[in-house]
Amino acid sequence: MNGFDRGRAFQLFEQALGLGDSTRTLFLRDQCGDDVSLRREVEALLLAATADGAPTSVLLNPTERSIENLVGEQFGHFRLVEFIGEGGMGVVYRAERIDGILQTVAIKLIGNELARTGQERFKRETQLLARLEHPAIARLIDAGVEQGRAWIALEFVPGRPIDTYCDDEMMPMRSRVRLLAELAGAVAAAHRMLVVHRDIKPANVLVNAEGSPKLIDFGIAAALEDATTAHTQTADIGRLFTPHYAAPEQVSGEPITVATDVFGLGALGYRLLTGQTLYPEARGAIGYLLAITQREVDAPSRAAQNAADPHTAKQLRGDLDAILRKALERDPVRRYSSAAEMQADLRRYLDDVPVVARPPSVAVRAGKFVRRNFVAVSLATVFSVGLMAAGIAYVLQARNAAEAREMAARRGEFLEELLKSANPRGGKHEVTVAKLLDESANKIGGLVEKEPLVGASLLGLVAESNMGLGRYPEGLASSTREIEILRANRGNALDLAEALSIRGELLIAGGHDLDAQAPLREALALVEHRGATKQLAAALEGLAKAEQNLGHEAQAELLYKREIEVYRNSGEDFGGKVGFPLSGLATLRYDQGRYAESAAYMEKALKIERSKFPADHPDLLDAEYNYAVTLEQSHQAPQAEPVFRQLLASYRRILGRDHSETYSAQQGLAHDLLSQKRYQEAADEALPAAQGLSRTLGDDDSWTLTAWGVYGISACLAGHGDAGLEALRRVAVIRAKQPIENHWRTMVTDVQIGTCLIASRRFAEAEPLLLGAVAALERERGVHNDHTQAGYRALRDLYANSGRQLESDVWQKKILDGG
Amino acid sequence: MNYSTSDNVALNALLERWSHGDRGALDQLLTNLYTDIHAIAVRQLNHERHSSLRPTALVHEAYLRLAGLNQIRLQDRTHFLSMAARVSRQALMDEARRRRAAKRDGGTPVTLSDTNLGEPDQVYDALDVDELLTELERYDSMAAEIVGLRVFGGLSIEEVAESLTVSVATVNRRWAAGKVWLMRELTRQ
Repeated sequence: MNGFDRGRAFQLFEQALGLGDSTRTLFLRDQCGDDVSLRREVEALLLAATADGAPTSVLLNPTERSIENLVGEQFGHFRLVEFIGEGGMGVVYRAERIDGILQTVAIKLIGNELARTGQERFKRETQLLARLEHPAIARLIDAGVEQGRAWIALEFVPGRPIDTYCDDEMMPMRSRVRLLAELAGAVAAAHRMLVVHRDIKPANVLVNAEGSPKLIDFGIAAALEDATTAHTQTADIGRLFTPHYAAPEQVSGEPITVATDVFGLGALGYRLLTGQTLYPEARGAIGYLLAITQREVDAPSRAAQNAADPHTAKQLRGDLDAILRKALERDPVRRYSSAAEMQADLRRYLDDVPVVARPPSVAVRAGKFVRRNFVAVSLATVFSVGLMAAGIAYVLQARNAAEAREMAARRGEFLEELLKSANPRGGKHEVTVAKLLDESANKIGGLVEKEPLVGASLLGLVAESNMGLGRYPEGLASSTREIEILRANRGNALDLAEALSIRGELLIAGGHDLDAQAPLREALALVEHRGATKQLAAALEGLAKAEQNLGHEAQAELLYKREIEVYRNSGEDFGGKVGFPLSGLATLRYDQGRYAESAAYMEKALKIERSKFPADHPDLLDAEYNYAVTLEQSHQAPQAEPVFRQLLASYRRILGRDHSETYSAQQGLAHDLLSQKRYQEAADEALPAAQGLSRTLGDDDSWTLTAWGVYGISACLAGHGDAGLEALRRVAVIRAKQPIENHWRTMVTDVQIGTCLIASRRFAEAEPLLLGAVAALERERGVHNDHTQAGYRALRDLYANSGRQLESDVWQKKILDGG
Repeated sequence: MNYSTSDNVALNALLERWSHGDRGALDQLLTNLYTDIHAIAVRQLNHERHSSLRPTALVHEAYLRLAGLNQIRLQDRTHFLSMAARVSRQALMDEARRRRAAKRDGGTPVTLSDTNLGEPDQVYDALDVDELLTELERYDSMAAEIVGLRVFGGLSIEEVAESLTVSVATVNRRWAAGKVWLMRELTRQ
């Protein structure tokens, strides 16, 4: 009865729900094409969704309201006395109590009216905030809603913003660090009460005449956001953020956690200690967006160096660099796991005790777990940094200098214009990137009339930015228009090819590998014989990725190889770019189980990446680890050994001896020695690694257990049966308590215990244990699994050693590589 | 249906075993839950001369029986509710199908009310809901899962997010889409 694909209609509806009105129209035109009934269905669903409770965010649509003079007006027990200023959310007044009690407060009036549900939420949230007491946090004294308008009374803090204060007073470095440590302590106290500030910046830290800092507006951003979105059904919540101080997750819409405040403290510290902001070269909201989504922050000492301040640079190098960089990690889970930890490290610096910087965090451990098992996965992310860099280069460079200047100038003007119009009152720094991008896409329409090609290039930028934010449908909408304009105006073939390649990337990123092929093939055809290395390589790389995702390994391989060829023949300096296709090939080979070839490609890719990253870059170390593990897996344990030893030395140098990452690397080395049948040496490395991991990560961490497993088996095979068995039995006890999904790991331990018993010639005990474990592993992991195979080998040895050759042969037949 | 003391002991033992990772215990618990919810549903349908079921109330009743009457510490309420939502859907649909086949009540279809979908009093044919959710599963399995947890378990947005370990934003978006689609399909006729 229906002339359309119901599933597709639902999926388009779901995607369109997250888009702005104008983008929606474009998106639907793009996706539905001539399919009128499909489009009608999606539109009907959208209409139903809107009628269901229009999902609009009040924060994003500030009502036009000129600044009224409210002096003399009454809010709760307070009367407004003096206009102080205007913040992102509304106006601030100094106010006094009307009931005779002497109390001066700062009253913040929220610019928008809240819905009734929002008001209730707001009251609840502010009640919670009122309980927050700390000498370095301005107290929330009262809050209420008057005529739908929310107000907050805060402790009045006479003082200057912390950056102005530090600069005016010419504060020395250590005093600045002390202030930062104090603030970190205040934030930690708030976190213990489950309140996140999420807008830490100089303007929100005031320092009074005695030199004590106070954080203002604690938790208010969250209270307001919750209140204004309490009733919305969709959650395309554009968040407010402050350029240079916002964490990446605030821009991209990921969950906000205590780590967001850790980033805020890092950004604040960066400003206080270096005098620079995080992305000094970023201009306008879009420039900032590109920076935050794509760029690594310069090391603080380097920022100072660049600002011609070698004295400061020297003070920052080392500990302070490490502390700030850890707080400013783009991935929230790699930051300090709490403000308290950051405070402790700042204190250690002040006390001249070595700082921890990069302490073990859950994610670092999880990341390692991944890289142990799925080498290629983390390898891909490591090398995508290179890809990101290429993206920035695209934005910042142009085909020739004159054109670049011309386009950059127009772009700058235009972006400023956009920014101003996004903020009717001007001068404010808060914008939401998502909203800005949607508006840009609209506004560019006007420009296209006069300057179609400049408009197209801006649309390309918007498309790419949306890709960086993971907003693929929006990116596609802009990309579609860009391509239309380029075609209609006979734009440069190279521009068109680039636009088509980005469209392909967007489609791949959105999971539409099949659809991605048409634009990428067209791009390829456009540039194939033009000697345009960058565009040609981009098209080939996109096609390769699509084919790889589709499981067409042979085609993907050919395309990666062609890409490498293109770079090689270009004669230009594209050496650094070859890392991506090489790691693509490594991934292909790894997936095919051809570990030796995979390792060979990794080696080549690493050679390139090593020249691009500093030697102690964590991603690079991860990649080295992957390389070592893959080598070991491809029966090249002796070749892997020096890589493991090098890694261990790097970790010891960077993180110190007593660090979980260092111990994990040592465990890797021990495993490698075990593979080389150098049992005593393996045991000697494994024991301190296991003890260290127990101490740093806890006894039941999976890395700790793996290390004890390696120790146990090495010790047994080295002739220390009792010590080895004791270690393995402890592992078994802990494993047995773990969640059901990890049940098979208990079996792995049983195989190890069985192997141990064989080494001690305790065959009768080993046999039932091994038979049970192998049966379970076959069932849960399959016959090809490494652990199942290890079980087969153990059984073969068991029977061979106890003179039951026939049974031994049965198990021998199940062993895949005969080894 | 009443729990005897020995049932009580047995249930406690099952929960204990389950919390230690015994998969068999979980199966047994779910079977018990199914029986329990099914019994409550049948009781409602028979005794209250009512052909409309309130799935959320059913699940809550099952929860209270386990947690309250038996003084069992169900530490993970969300986990229980999400499990119960799935079991409950199964139990209710089995009963609805049985009634349709038996043409009891003159073939009056079993309906669901208080579903979190629209107005609390609005009723929907239980089998239609089930069929459409199965269809939605093909288009977006997470959306279908979310709708299922909301309709059959009465989980809040936050609880769904916790149960599926995804963000509240994700749940919100997919719930909005799934709900609108389901309502439209249910009222299409």
